[in-house]
Amino acid sequence: MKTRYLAVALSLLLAQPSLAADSVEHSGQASKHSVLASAEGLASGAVVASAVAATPVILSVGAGMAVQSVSTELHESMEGKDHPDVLVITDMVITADEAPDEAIQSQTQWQE
Amino acid sequence: MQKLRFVVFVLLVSVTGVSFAGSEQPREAIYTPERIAGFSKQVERYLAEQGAYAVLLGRMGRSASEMPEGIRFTHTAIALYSTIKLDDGRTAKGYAIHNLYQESGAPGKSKLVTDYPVDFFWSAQALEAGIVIPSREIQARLLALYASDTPVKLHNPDYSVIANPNDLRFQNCTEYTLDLLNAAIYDTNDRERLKRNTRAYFHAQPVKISRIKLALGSWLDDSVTTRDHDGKVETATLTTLARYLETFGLLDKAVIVSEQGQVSNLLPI
Repeated sequence: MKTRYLAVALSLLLAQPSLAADSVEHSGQASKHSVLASAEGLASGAVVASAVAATPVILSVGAGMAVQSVSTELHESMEGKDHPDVLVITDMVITADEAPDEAIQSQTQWQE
Repeated sequence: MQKLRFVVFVLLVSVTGVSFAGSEQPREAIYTPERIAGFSKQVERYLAEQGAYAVLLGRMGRSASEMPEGIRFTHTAIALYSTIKLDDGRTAKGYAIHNLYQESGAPGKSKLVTDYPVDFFWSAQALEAGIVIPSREIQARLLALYASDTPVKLHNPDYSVIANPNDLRFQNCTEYTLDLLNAAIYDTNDRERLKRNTRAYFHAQPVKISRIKLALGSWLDDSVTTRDHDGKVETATLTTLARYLETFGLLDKAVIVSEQGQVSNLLPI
């Protein structure tokens, strides 16, 4: 009977893939900001920064494309371009995590 | 009695041996911060080089060997080229990622969260990114969509890891992404209409997993349910989203980018 139990256990363990999802926010770890900021191997000059908000750049692709622009300075146009331009991105490592001083402050407030 | 013991034993092994809800547990990063930051910036640079403003992005939160056949990426979200305001008042250009995340304390529920590439890949099990770049027009429409309240309106907080994309009752990250894509394509936030079009034009990925496991999962885990499925279980994946866009001429590029800098096709040729 033991052999039978073992065989069933092994077949269940080995034959079935996991259904576990991964759509979980990676916020359970220690502060990413401080971990990143103290990482010695980050590219030279790499700065870690915390984001407070992000505004998507609005893009229009042609005269017939009606898009609502939230700000003219954030509006970019593809009209008349055969190939998209390379976009400029920052070298900073941006995280949604708080900076260490803010994390300490908010935790202290919470404890009070 | 012997039979009962056998059944209980099998059930216990099934439950403990194969997790349905690993995503509930906060998992530590398995790569060093340097490698995660380096890979995240590499992905951002690739997107910027393509001139991509709106992209579907996938990560591997489980090793490929753990995943059911045909499913490679465990989490999908939309990355938008953005002006990012930093906590010191400065601004920077980069990609903000708009996610539907499972609630860590309530696995049957989800919330909308904006984060950034290093957050997105923080606990990835492999430093590989699935990248689906829609056509320019779909990108423009997705950007316009995020200037409206449609992303909030289309969020259904009732979460199922194997949500049926043809049904309104449950939603996971990839179904949410599909709903946003269709909202952009059809210029509507009418959820019934979006589902009608999904049923008509989108082909989901069959989930090849045993009925026993599905039944046990839905019994024991709030994030697994088959209640929104009739017959065979199917769900949306990053690959099926890419295939959907390709079928209707709305795809620019679908690739996998690895930490080693290799760029391979996401869709089989």
